[in-house]
Amino acid sequence: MRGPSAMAAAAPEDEDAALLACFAAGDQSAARALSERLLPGALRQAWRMLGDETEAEDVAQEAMLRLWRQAPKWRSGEAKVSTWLYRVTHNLCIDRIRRRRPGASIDDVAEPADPAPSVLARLAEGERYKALAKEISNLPERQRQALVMRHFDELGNPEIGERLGCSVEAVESLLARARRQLAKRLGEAEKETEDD
Amino acid sequence: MTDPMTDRERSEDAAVERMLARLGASASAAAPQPSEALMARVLGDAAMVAAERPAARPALVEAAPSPGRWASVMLWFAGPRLAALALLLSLLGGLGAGYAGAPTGGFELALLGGGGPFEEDIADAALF
Repeated sequence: MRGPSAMAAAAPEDEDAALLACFAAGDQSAARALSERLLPGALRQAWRMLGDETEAEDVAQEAMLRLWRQAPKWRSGEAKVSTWLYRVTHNLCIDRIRRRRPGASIDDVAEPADPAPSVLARLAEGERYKALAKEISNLPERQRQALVMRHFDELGNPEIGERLGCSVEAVESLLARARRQLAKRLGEAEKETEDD
Repeated sequence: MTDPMTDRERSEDAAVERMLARLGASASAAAPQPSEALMARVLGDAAMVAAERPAARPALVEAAPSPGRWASVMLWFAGPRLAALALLLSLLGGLGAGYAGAPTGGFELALLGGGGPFEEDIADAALF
């Protein structure tokens, strides 16, 4: 059996899959190594979506629990472990947001938009940054997703493409259009302020 | 093909890029890091899942068949071969019996060169 230390030479994504296989074979040290690699990202993503640290911790723990349960059934090469975990974390956050709406059944509430911009707005200092956070929330969905993944989840373009199901070139195009759109709207907002 | 960007557009995009980078840095700085307590909870879950899972036991112990299973496997594997061997042996045995019977009835007596009519009668009878 390959231990976690033997994974050092593997590509990062292969390394995740190899560690998961080690865990499925009964190697508990692989669980620690995998947690150190994936838990920070899951926690950051959940916090960005939920804006609450305690809730984010619960979601990150639940997402990791699902990963442990998935380990024996994991088929290498079909999906990246980090992509799978990102999707599970996203869905768990969406479920939490739905539950926050009083008196509504979870099934009756449509999937809410990624709430990241509202969390970002709280972090923004100064009018210009608050306006930026607001304009991010007004972007078309895929542009907003690509932008949030790039600048706030710190993902590279290939990883964004994997999550959005498109090519790297398409991701670059989405990001360029998003930036152009933001620049245009911020410029218009400033002009309106000057005119007032 | 998209229109080439003007210098002004390029400058505006660069400004937005800087703002996004700064906002992203603020978000990263404010984002929580996994605490020791969270890590312990996650690893506790991993241990629980591993304990629940039969596959987590050493695979060789699970795979090793019991003596009864060994016997059935051996029988399955060797059965047709044993049957073929028995058939071959019986064929050889039959041939051997035929070969052994012939000299006793005829050739042997002929070789012995029996002298009297009685022996010749026996030899003739044995040949048929």
